[in-house]
Amino acid sequence: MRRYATALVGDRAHADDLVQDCLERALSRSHLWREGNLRGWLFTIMHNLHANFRRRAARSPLTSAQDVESLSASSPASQEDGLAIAGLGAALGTLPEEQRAVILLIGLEEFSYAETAEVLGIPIGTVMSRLHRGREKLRQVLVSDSGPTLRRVK
Amino acid sequence: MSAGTPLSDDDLHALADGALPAARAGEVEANLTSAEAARVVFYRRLNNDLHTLFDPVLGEPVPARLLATPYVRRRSWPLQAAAAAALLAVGIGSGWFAHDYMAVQELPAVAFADRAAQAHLAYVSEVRHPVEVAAAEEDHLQKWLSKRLQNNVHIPDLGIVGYEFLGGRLLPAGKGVAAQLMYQNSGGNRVTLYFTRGADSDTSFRYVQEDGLSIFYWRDASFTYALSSELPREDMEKICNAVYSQINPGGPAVEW
Repeated sequence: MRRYATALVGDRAHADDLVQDCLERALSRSHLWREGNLRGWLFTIMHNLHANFRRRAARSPLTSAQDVESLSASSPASQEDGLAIAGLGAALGTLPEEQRAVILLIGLEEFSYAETAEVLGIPIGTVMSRLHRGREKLRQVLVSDSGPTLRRVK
Repeated sequence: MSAGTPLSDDDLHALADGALPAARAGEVEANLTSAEAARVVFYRRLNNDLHTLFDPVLGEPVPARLLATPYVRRRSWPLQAAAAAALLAVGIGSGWFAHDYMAVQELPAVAFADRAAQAHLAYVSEVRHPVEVAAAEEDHLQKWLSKRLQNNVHIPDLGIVGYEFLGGRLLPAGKGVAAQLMYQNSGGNRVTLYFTRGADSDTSFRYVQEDGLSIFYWRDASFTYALSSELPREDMEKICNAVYSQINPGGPAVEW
């Protein structure tokens, strides 16, 4: 969860806040969890909390840009991978959050398309179109920019 | 190769994500153009690189503040054990929380939302008796509920968001009582507003989804409220705003 929160919001402190809120809320309402995919349920709570945060943040001009800029700084990757990885982090940060979330839930957290739809509370068709738009945007940025940057990463 | 279903973008993503059944995966792979193959290769690398970029977080020590949860009330053992076991099973970490998160912070508001959900489910599907007192007797209902809840009850008019008032009922709620008001739109969608005594200065809205229900709950100086329906969250927010602004004219801004 910390991995996903970090990837989603970029800012480490905020990511940990989010995970903490999520765990507290999950435990305080564990009676609401009936059956099924607990991991998905926890991610759903995290998304609802994050959506609340974004809504508040949208009304105050303080936040919003910091998500993007700190993404690439958040990873202690080895020097060898540094360039490509920083490129990916920065490129991810430029995506709309709805696309970033789908790409991360599927590619990083390895949720199925159906589970991703459930976590985000959106139809599966929307998952697929956000996945497609997001990945294609990354492909344009990362592949055409300075050659096949991604190839550097083993 | 056999000419199967033509390839779609979804096929390419599903192939890269290993989400296709073996037969279809073979078919897709055999029919890829070189441009499509390059895309699949990119998508796979992307997934791989996301792990390279973010997996280090998994190996980092967990900050101390994440381990410190205020101890409020000890829950019954089975529930504690279930919660702890569930969290362990998810593999969120390696046992760092198992001890400290046994101390659970319980929010009465959550139990409240759960009760509202049960009340919603109990009555929303009723065709003949959805309410105890119908909208035709709104004045009587308002006075009766105000008396039983020992505080002035305001019945919001949700016509501006397309919902007609059907009526309401009194319900048991723990040691006290609660009221449920029901509304319906032209499409037959029903929304219930459940409230009971209980004041708090925290007016922020909370949202929970459960069993296909969307529930917003919040408090004001007189009552604790929960608005329940099967509607998507965006629609609920509009209704919620309408309810809140009528109950608290000129009140403090809503914290979404």
